Amino acid sequence: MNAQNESFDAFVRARLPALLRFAHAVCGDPDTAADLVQDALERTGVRWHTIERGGDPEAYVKRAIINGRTSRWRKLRRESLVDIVPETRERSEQKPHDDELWRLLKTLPARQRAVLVLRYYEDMSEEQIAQTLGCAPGTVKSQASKGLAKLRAALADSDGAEASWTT
Amino acid sequence: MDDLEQRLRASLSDERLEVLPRDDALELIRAGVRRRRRARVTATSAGVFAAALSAVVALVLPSVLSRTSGPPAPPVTSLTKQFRIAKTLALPNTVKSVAALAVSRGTIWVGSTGALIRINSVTAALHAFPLGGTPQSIAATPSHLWVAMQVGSTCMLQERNAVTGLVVMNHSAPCAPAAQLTVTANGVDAWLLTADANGVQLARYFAGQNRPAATALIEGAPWGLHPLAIGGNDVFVLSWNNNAGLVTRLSAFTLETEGTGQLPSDTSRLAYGTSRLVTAGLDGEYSLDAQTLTGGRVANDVTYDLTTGNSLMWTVTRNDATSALVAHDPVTGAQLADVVVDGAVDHAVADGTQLFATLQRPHAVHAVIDVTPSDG
Repeated sequence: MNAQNESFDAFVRARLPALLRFAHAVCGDPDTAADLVQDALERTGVRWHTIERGGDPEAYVKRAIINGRTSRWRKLRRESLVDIVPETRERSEQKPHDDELWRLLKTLPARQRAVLVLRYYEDMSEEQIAQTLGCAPGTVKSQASKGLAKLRAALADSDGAEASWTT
Repeated sequence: MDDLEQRLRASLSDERLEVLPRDDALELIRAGVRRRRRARVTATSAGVFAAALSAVVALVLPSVLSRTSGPPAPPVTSLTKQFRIAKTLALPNTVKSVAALAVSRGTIWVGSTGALIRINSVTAALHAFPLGGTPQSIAATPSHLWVAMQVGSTCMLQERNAVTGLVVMNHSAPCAPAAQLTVTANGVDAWLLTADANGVQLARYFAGQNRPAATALIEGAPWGLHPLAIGGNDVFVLSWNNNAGLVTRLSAFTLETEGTGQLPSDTSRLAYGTSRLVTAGLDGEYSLDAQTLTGGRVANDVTYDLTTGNSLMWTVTRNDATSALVAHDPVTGAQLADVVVDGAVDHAVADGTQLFATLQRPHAVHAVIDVTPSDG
């Protein structure tokens, strides 16, 4: 095994759990997260020498994960889903505390969700998010604002519906 | 931070969302990498065969048809171009970061916080002009300089005399906070792209006139760091539509839409050269026919900046310690030359046969470098 492969393997071993966790936050589903990370790391491995020389391979992989998620989201839209496909495996033990918010996050467009994940999970600044996504800081600001507004509106609707059931 | 933001942070950090890697994850990834490498080799071989076939057809066909319309242009041969750093021009210590760069006929314009700096690339003479804000984008022609910046809720395009550097006119319009402004120019015309929460608007300004000569709303939402390019009689704009990259070709004069094309979803930079539109993003560099807006991937760099000039496409890759300025054939993407630079390149702009780039070095001042053909 050459030094390049060793360096890539070491990177995968060290960062795989964190990348899976990040992908899960981005896409909302553990199986899709595993697929996204596999795909992103394969792409990265092919060009490892260039990417490693670039100095921040993890940022590259995260961009690839977000981009992969966006492509999937687009494909799903093209397929015109008529219903939500039921989970094939029970993951009740993995349900988050705030199931309602988690469910609403999944309804956001991929880029809006990515901006919110980078902001509130990765603690990135607007400039860092812009650099990661390859867009302007102003775009990050507007996408975050739209995403938060949608979540607020959905939560308000949901609260209203709950109130009408309980009163 | 409000309640929703706190809930978001807590929800996204929930430990129960951990995903355990499979035991054989590393093996699967290695196998995937090997499979992709094999596919790339096959694709490259097919590409080389197709290119060779095209070259043979290109050489044989003219003689078969006995055309008399002059000799064909010599084919570009790989790795024959040589470039060297001809000069490094230090910027004043007061420049903490470079926001924009433009060059026209050897006059370099650098935009930084509160200042516009003019540098004569031959004599290194330097002059700073105060600005009321930080320029987001600068465009220069031999006669005119255009500076785009936002001051509060006003977006401003400042027209200056390119010789004296003095303000000729200020064009201003209201815009939403954190708008992204990009300007490009050709002759006495300038095109200003304003992208904010309200959408993407393009305006053409004619030197000396205080109103836009034409305006257009662009389909899609704002996207990209270099989303505007001028080429021939067309102007090209990058935006974001239905979760995909979109490039729109408009008449440079009337700003009527003439065509659109889809791009990879993460495309963020656009440039024009030799009748090709080149783009860069996470998926690599694409070369599109400027009329049909169709084409394919030609290079695979992790690009930090992109520019075109002298029939070359230049990409910038970098880390904190070094950068590489790589010259490609804009049609085939073939790598023709590269120049390794000590430091991180911020911006690169081609001007005639030269390439100018701003550079930041740890514990050193910012600088502008002049990359010149060795044989030119």
